[in-house]
Formats: sequence, C-alpha cells, structure tokens
Amino acid sequence: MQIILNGIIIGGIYALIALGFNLIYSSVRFYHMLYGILAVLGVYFLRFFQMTFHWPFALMVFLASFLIGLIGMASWQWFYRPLAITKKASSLVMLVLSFGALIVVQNLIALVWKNNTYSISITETIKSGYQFFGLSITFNQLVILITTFISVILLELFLGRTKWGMAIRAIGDNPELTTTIGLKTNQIILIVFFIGSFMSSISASLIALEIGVRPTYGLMLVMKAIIASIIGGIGSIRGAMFGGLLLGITENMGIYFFGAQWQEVTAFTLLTIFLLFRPQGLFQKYQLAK
Amino acid sequence: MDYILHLAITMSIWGILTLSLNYVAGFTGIISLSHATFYGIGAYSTAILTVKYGFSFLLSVAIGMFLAAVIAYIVSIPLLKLQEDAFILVSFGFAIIGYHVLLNWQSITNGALGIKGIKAPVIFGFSFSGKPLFLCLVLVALICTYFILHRIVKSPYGTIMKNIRENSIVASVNGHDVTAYKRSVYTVGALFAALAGSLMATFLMFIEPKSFELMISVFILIALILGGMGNLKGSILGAVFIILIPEILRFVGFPNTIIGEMQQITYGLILVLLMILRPQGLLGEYKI
Repeated sequence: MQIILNGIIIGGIYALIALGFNLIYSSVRFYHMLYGILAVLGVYFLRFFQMTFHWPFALMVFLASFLIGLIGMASWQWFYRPLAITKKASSLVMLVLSFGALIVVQNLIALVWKNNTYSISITETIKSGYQFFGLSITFNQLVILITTFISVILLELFLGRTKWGMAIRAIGDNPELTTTIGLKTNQIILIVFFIGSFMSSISASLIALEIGVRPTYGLMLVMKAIIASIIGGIGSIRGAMFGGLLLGITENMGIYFFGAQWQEVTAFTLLTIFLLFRPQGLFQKYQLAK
Repeated sequence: MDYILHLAITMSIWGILTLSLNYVAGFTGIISLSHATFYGIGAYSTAILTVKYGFSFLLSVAIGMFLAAVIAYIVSIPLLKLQEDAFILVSFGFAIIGYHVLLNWQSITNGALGIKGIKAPVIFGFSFSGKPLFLCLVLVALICTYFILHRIVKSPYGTIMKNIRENSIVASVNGHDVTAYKRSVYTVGALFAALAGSLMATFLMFIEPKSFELMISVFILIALILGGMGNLKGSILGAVFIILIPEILRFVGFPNTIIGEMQQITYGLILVLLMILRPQGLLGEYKI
C-alpha cells in the first residue's frame, strides 16, 4: 500500500506536468521540448528568491511560476511563432528546433548555477511525518498531494466553466474553425503557454521538494510528460491525469521490485507495452500511430 | 601530429556513425535518436568478447553487428508504428533504456567502471597498433561503409526508400510493404553504427557507459542535419564539423571547466539556427 501511495504522490506530479504539456500540445500540435527546462528554471528562480528574500513560501512559488509563465509566452511569441505560423514549418522542424533550445537553456543553467542537485525546503526544520491507517506520509508529500489536487480542480474548472477555457478547448479541437468564428487564436495560444508553463514550474517545484532538481532533469521531466501523455492519449486532459498517475504507480512498483536504478527502464517499458497494444492511449484524441 | 591523427580517427569513426544515421534518417525519413545505443552495443560486444573471452577482433565485430541488428529489428516492431515526431521521442526513450542497461547490468558490462585494456585489433596476424596504422583501418571501414550505402541508395531498393521518405502513402499504394522496408533500413543502420562502436572501443582501449549516453545520439543527429540529410558526402562533412567544434572552442580559449557546457550550447545553437535558416543543412537534399 505504501508503494501505491508513493506512486500516487509522484504520479500526481507527473499528471500535473503532463496536463500543462498536453494543453500546449493540443493547441499548437508540436512537441514543446523547452517545456521541461523552463520548469527546472522555475525551481532555480524559486531557490534564488528563497536565498535573497524571506517571503512566505507559497508567494515565492507563485512568483517564480509567474515569471516562467511569462517566459513561456515569450517563447511562443518570439521564438516559435515566426516559424510555426509565418513560415508554416512542420511539427518535425518545430520539435528539433525546440530540442536545440532545450540543450542551450540546460547548459546555460549549468553554467550559471553549476551542475549540482539542489533541493528546496519549505521550512528550516524537518517536520515529522503523519500516519494514516498504517501509511506514513511526510509533510512535504502532504503539500505535494494537496497542491496537485487543487491545481487539477482549478484547471478543470477553468477549462470547463469559463469563456477562455472553452476557447482553449475549441482551439484544441479545430484551430481553423476557431479562427472563422472570430476568436483571436494567437491570444488564446499565449494564454495556453502561460498556463502550461505556470503549471510546469509549480510541478517542478514539487519535484524539487521531493527529490531535488538538476539541469539535466529538464529533459527527464518533459520525457515523463510525453510518456504520460502518450499513455493517456495525447491531447486529452483526462488522459494526461490518468497517464501520469499510472506512470507514477508503475515506476514505484518497478523501484520496489527491481531497484531504483531501473526506474527509467520501467517507465519506457510501460510506454512500449502501450505502443504495442494500445497506441492511441487510454483516452484517444489524436491518432499517433498508423 | 599525434593530435591530428587522433582527430582524423575520431572524425572517421563519427563519419561511419553519421553515414549510418543518414541511411536511416536522411534517405528513409526515420529520424531516430537511438543510434548511440547501437553504437554502444557494438563497442561493448567487442570489448567484452575480446577482453573477457579472448575472441579475435573480426569475430567480435561480426557478433556485435549481428547483435545490434537483431536488437534493432526487435525494437523496430513497436517503434515504427509511430508517426515521425512521436517516433523521435520514443526512440530517444529506447536510448535511455539502452544506457541504463549498460550502466546497471554490472555482471556483464562492469557498470559505471567501464571495461579497460581492450587490445588493438589484430586481423589475420597483422596488428593495427599505433595511430597511423589504425587510421588506415578506420579509413578502409569508412570507405567500405560509404560505398556499400552508396550502392544501396542508388539501387531500386534505395529509390523505394526515398519514395517512402517523400510520401509513404504513395509507396504503400504502389504495393511496397512500407513497414517491412522501414524495419530493414533501421536494422542495416544499426549494423553500421555497431561497426563504428567496435572501432571506437579498440581505438580508445577503454569504454564506459558515459560514452554512449543520450546526448551522443543527439550529437549524431546534429552532425547529420548540419551536413545535410539525404546526401552521403554531407554526412562526412557534418562529422568533421562536429569533432572540430570543441577543438575550436578550446583554441579560442575557454577554460576546460566550462568547455563541456560551451560545446553543448554551440551544438544547440547550431540546431536552432539550422532549423530557422536552412533546414536542409549544408549539402542536404531533403528538408525535414
């Protein structure tokens, strides 16, 4: 049971990452690889704030994520858009472009902040864990669980109940048609990039609470988001959530049965199994395989 | 002189690697980020078989190539179901698996410590020790690879490969089994990558999993895109550039502590600029 609980906690973070990734993917239809490293950058901002100012933790997370959201918007407006919209580049070109940018940003972070693992903590002292029904959970894990839960509910409400949310879903379903009914596509995509990057930074901060971050985790994070998305069915919000949870639980089972060094292998084995038997994912939206 | 020979050997081995990826990605359009794994399989096969079991060099190379081909064929079954951009990412995932297997299967691969003391290749009693002789061997391998791939690409089979690259639906309408073709191409590409790996292992005399990590796959792809996809000469040019760049950075005077990061930043920038300005690379015939 403890393994499953840990799996749910990690899976919740993966779900959050995958949600933001999926949101961006469904509105621009290419793999935004920069996403992972922006999330990691958020943690470095947070750490910088923590060392410079002594504000409440939640405020600093919000501020760092807000900055990352702005950077995400800028990356669409000045980096992707000239190619994707003006030059009509294929999604393959966009993927390679974004991958190149990921390498550049990752190494810039490594140059500025060195290649070490950093973890952050909410309070100076380590708080004791809690016990429920024979399961133990640390204070950090409780924070992670609650934050994930609130974020998912807020996003679901935003997408389901507000005008902007509906516009975002409309773009995900059919970009051309959305333009014809008079919605400003670019504005909506900018908002999507903001929300996606914002969420990625929050989830990376949660990961930093649990295991710490280093520059190379950017690639790992975005790969996890992609695995979770493909398992869940790429483009589908509910799919990203279940995919993330399933990935987290499977990984933790893998760690328990085979040892921590096989964690990545377990994740990709799960992906391969899905590709073989259910390539469209749990909740199909777009066709990935022929 | 020693330094130039060292560079020339590394460039030739990377030339073989880039050529093999060009065969897969440039001519058939299967842009794969799993090449470092097959490169690693070749290197480890040679290292393990010659050091631990005393096999001869040629036999170990043959076994390494065979092993890489078998693994590539098996892996291609789930992988090639995907469309091209999803394929890139999932093949990258396969490279992650490969790296972790090399790192963690300690009884066979000796884990992170690597394998030491790989002897210089001996072929029919003639030992290729010393850099000038080794360069000759590598150049022969490079020229053989070039001509074999050149023949395949110019053959009717190669025409179908390009057909699949340009429009796989048309290829399948013409009655070609697209998946079977793609699998065979992917397998042959892995074969030559393993050859490059075997040569690299005997050249460095020491291998560790780090030499076959994920970023190597990315660097091979950068060399390929820089040189130009779908052009065999371009691949060799790309390999020359990708080896020269860190050396140039060193000459410019960056300290050794940040040279690794600077090198990767340069590679990343090259990739970004190529995508924006010239997606077909220097000599390319195919725009991704």
